[in-house]
Amino acid sequence: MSKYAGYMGRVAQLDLTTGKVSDYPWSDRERELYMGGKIMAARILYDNLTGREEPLSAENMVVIATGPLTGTGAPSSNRFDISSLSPQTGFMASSNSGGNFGYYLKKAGYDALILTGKCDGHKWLEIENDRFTLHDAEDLWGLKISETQEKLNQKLADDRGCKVKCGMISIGPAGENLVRYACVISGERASGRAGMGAVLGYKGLKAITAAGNHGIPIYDPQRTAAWNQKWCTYLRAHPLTGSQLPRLGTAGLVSAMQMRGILSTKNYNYGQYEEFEKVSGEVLAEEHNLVNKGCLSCPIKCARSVLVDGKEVKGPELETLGLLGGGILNDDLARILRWNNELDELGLDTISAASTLAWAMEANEKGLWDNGLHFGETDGISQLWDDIAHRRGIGDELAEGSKRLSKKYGGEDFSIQAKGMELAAYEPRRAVGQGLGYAVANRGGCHLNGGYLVILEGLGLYTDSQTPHAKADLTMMFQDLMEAISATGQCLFTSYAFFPGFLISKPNGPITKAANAAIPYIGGVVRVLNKAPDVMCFHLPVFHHTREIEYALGMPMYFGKYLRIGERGYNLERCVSARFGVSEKDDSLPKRLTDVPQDPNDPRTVVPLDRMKPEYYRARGWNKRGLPTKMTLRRLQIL
Amino acid sequence: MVKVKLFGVFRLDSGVKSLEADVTTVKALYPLIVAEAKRLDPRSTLSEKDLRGCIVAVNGRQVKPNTTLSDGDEVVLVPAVAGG
Repeated sequence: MSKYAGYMGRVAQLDLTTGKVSDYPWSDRERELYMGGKIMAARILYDNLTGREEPLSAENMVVIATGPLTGTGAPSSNRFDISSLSPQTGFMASSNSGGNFGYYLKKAGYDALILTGKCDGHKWLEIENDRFTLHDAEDLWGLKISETQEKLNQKLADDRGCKVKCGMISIGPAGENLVRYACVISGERASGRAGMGAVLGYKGLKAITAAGNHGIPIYDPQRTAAWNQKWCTYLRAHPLTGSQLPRLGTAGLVSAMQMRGILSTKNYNYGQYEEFEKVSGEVLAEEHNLVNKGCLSCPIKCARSVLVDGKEVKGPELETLGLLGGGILNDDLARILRWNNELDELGLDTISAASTLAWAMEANEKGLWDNGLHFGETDGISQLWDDIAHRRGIGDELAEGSKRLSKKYGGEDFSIQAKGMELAAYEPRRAVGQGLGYAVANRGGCHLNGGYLVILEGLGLYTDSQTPHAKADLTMMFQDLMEAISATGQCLFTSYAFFPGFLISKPNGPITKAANAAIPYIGGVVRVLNKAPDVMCFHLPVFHHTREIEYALGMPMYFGKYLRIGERGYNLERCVSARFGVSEKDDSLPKRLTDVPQDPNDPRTVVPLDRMKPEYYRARGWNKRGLPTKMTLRRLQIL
Repeated sequence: MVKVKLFGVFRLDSGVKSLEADVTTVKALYPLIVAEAKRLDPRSTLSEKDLRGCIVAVNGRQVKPNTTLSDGDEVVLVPAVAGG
């Protein structure tokens, strides 16, 4: 049990080899230091992995962790993380999802589930309160996601004689066949990145269901409900979370990115796509979107719902539109809708699948690899996804991702990845802070784990997107903030309301202009705050998370402490990965982004990584090898 | 004559996707877009104030709203709101 509400107070550890279940010790002191979710997972992996494990091995450990606010009714708080060694990067990675599994894992009585070992054959795991049962999954192996979900729901209903409310995660054929960027799906939402589907596939685990009748405790229900209401009202009134995201989804970014020259086009050769309007969020909304959807307890509802072959399915996110649109010179939105559904059904990460395809097209164009794939030619792509998921023909090679392919065939300069994980759709040569984030992000080329500085560099605010000034310090602060939000169990989109609405809705106003002009000069201030966050011993009026923690959990919290928890998590992840060899050499980008100007007439349009990276390490208190110093680890109470 | 394209929530609200206009500055476009929105839907609430809150690009390059336009230019208006 925990003295803090929100937590269920138990962490289960299941050895898949023996089927033995035990309680993993996790104290209130650890809850205070690591909160939950991915930071909790980082501590568990730090305490258990030695550096000798392989991502695809029985010795690798998987931590599926909720946050303390998961399922409490706090806005957008239905999230959970799957953390493990990534088969894409070889380092620790977490993959976050808004599916309902986290909520039901807590209903079953657990904050987290740790998986070790490897199943004998193929299994699915049923959790119902204290009962853990590994069932034979031979009849599920090979099924796509929706087929698996339907069959498992039917099995549970047959077993209990009625429809069962449960949370579920499952892998598709891609995870079974160890595609390095296989994802895990819960409902319609994906733990998309870092290849967690392959990790589960190697362990022989097709799916997990969780159900139970435990109540999720709230420390002060009345104040929490009132605060949630106030927070939801704030989110609904904000131009980002109340208008842009609900109306257009993340897809609404396509047009803004086009305008800023940061829309990945032809495998990141360019930052603008002539036919962008045809694959934009506006056309998606006008011609295809049936209804806005959202995760449990989310007032934002950014998800799209579209028809494919007469069936209502999830619509694409910005990254999928960008990379399967301009990224491969495809202007057929209907095809992207279809591919998005096919990739989900097969259990493939849409970002890495699309970017690997774009790399392969360019490798073919340059004569490095005769694979029959051409930019702008999209017949047969559906079959290609199926071939990747089943590792057939060239699909077997594409299943390895662009980094490994470029080592084999050449073309590393245009393999658009970091640490082996392909970048999202934001072209960073006109948003250099985002470029730094991609390079140094713990889990690889991820826009969110990288700090999402692009929101200051043209998507929201409009500071100088080419200057390196202040970008290192801001990247650190944003990374830490996002780390803490994830660990709490909330969606990162709640952090976008951190920017006062008038700054966003009046980009040409004097205050916004002044803010944009000032940002490159605030690096020193941000560095001081990063070093001594405890000076921010208060709640910020635009940042509701810290009061929520006090009201819902009964845990004393303030903004600086929250930021420090995020910093602790980021360093812990780095420490885990350090055991597997991560260092400065891995914090890199392909030469296309660092050495080749996007605009041949403007040499500033590259990512000045060599200049920003040392500043970032200094800001973090890391040594020149990009590793936390002992002093930093002691300051963060990791040692 | 310049070609104007509108994006973002204002496009969804007003129904105005694009129009052609004979103007020499971006600012002069605003009343024309509002009028077009009213023509499509008399209940349209799109205002010049909304449009002043847009980022403006001419021929793919972001410009200031008082920029002078030339014949054949393509003007794009996008609200400055984003996150993904």
